[in-house]
Amino acid sequence: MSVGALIGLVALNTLFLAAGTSLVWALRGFRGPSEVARLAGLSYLLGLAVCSVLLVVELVVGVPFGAGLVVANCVAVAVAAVLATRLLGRPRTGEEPGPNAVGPVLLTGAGAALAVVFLEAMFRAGRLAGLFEWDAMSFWVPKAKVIYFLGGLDERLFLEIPGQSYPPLVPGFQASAFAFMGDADVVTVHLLFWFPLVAFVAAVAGLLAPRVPALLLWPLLLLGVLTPEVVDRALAPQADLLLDYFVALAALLVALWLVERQTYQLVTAAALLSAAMLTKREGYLLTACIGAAALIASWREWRWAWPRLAVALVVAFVPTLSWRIWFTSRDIRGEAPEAGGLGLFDHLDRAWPSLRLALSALFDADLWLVAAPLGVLAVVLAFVAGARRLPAYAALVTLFMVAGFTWVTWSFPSLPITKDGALNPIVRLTGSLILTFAALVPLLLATAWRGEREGRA
Amino acid sequence: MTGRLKEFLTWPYGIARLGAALCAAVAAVAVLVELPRALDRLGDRAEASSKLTYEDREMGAGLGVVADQRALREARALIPADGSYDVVTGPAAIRGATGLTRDFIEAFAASFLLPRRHSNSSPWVLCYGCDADSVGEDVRVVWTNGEGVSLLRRRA
Repeated sequence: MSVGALIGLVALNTLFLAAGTSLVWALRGFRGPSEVARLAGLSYLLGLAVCSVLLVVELVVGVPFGAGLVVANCVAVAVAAVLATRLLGRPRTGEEPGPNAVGPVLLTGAGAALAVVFLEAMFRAGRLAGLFEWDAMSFWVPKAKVIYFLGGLDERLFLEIPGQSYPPLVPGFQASAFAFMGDADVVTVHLLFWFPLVAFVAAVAGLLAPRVPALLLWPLLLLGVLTPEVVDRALAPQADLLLDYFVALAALLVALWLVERQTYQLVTAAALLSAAMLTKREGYLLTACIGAAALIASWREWRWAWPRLAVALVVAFVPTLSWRIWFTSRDIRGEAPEAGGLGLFDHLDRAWPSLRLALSALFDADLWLVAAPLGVLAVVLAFVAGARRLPAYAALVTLFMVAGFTWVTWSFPSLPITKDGALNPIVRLTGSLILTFAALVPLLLATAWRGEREGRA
Repeated sequence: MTGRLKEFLTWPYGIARLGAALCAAVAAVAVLVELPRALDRLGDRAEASSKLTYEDREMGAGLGVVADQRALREARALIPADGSYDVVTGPAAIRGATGLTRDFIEAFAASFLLPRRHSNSSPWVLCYGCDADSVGEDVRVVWTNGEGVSLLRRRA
């Protein structure tokens, strides 16, 4: 690892931040520099999502890859955001909780300080990490090398590398890092994944700080990222955690949209979900869970909410068609469940063990500490306090995701019923719900704390 | 004080508040217990990584496959970036081989040697326990560790 490689990584991620800041400015506006800083995590992940989705579409249509293309994408996104705001105006943004709701400075400072200590330790651990992750070594990094060295999705090599149908967003992200580092540095590339981790913590904290007391925000948020599985896997050059960040943040934005009805929240969630679907195939499943939960939770206002949700989901889905066309046109299989559409019923004996496995992985304290029990309790407490929409949405997201995880094991009969990550992806899958809890639970607890007296969230 | 306590025990809002406070307290305790453990683990990992050479870090999971990493490094140094290579395995003894070596060396080489491509007809051959005579005609040993791993060049 050289200083030059690190500077390259910082430059690349600064571009994503700049592009995302322009987007958030266009969609929502900022009330001042402090708000730009508070929403920097959200801006970065939005910039990363939009620029990466754009890159995937370009790779699919054969635009030659290089650092210039990455820069051009970020500049184009930023310029498009500015122009769109000039020509069309900014969507009307209603009142949001102001920064006064942040709470005692001491508590906020203590929470942020613990986060910084943890993230610094993650940085040190990733700085010299070897490429020991098997999936990373086997296909995520090789695909990135193909894009970097050969300037695109070299058909022959992509078909030879395992995981052919896996979407190329993460390889494109890593290839961008290689281009900015000036070399396919498979050691320093671990630090590339440090930036989205920092951004996820900053995004959730930034969005919730005006809405949730610091005492309820920081312990629950930190609990999510301190779980052993996140600590162990966050810097692996693989897609799992990046998918989880996109999904968890999108789930939070949809929750806020259900309560506050700010257009930027739904638009940003759609962009993040689009990126999630192009990050891993599970992104489709998780997007469906969030979409279905939001539709049901908003049934009382269906005339207002459903068309908007439907448009957001379609807009999120459309860019993913590019990759689907690419791999289906090359006759790549492996997308559909092994058991086939109705094959589930030939394996009914796997239904209960699959559900039990999903629940046991979710509630395994060695993997996720007490994040899941607190998540369930927070939903119950928000209901007890008289809230309906928010806890209903959170409960449905939880139920649908657990059902989805169960379905994965059930519909792939070759997967053994085990939490061994080399044999069954159940632990990786449950990570999405754990980080979703990290984002939603502070909001649920704040709702429980305020009670119905302050609105039926 | 008693009034405050009573407020926390009233149904439903007080109980909800009490529950929220307890959840935050449990999470805070879990964070305070887990953070030092996580820092320890991360510190150990950083220390372990710092003891490796850059070459070992780059080889990573491949260390359990390659038997002798010099072969791949020689191949990367000698085969042009737009060139190709073949991997041939055989039953001869390979010093340092593991149960993964023969099964996974081709897959690992495919990643490590990029942008060089695999081709069965390439003049460059990575030989893992193979019989050089069986690789083709006019085979020249470009590099060997003398312990079962060689880089060969054959007439294309």
